[in-house]
Amino acid sequence: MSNACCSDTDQLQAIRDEAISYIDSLYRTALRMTGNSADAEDLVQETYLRAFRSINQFKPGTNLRAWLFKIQTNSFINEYRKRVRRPRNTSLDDVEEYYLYSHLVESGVQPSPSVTEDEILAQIDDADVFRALDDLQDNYRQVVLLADVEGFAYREIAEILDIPVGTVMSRLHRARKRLKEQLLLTREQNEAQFEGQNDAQV
Amino acid sequence: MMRRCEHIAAMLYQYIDRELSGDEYRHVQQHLDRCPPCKKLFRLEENVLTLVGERCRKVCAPTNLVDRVRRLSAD
Repeated sequence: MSNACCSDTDQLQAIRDEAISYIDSLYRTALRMTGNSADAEDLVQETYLRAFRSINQFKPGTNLRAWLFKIQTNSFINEYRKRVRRPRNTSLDDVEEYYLYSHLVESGVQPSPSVTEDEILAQIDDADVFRALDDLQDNYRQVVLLADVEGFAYREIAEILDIPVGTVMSRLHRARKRLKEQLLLTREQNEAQFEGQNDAQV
Repeated sequence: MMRRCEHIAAMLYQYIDRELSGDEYRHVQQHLDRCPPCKKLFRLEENVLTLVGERCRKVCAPTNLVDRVRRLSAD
């Protein structure tokens, strides 16, 4: 009897310890979703509070990391987003999106033959990546973070966000397309700024 | 762009995300081996997404947050 009790306690503690090992993943996702470290810390702490409180509901052998992300996503949607109305994420409508895309194509942002892909990518710094992500709508940013940063499979993302796999795929498609445009646009703007500075010096 | 390339491009993300079946994966791979423009496009897409992942994964939780969560776990 006491053995069973202790091994249960040990198992729960092992699950808690494993849960804590995912804190970096949860924090960096929270940071990109809330946009500031204070809210991100609150969100992560709230996630663990809920997780530890309902740890008995977790089925050992299933994906603990995905379970934690589901808790955090629900907290973000139900608590955080209700509380904070962020002015950012006003989504561009389709007309603007089309304009942006055709503008990119016309302006020849496509890599010029003299520049290698590695050189283009090397010009993109951390701040460019964060800015491009921050410019995405919440539900687009969410799928990119889960897929490209955290490496979740489509069906895991579907489970975390409680949406069909087909929706995960279409959101990812649009989100990545937008993200790539933003990153290339950033580069184009930097170059324009650089050229502007050179002009000013002359 | 050839019709075949369009058909392959539609599987771009599932290929990158390793969400294709074995047969589909081989089908795309065979095309990429024969079509340098598609191969270049796929590589660029993959590199951009890898870059986004790598840059974001540099971020770690602050130590004081980790300590607070550890204390929650001990309660």
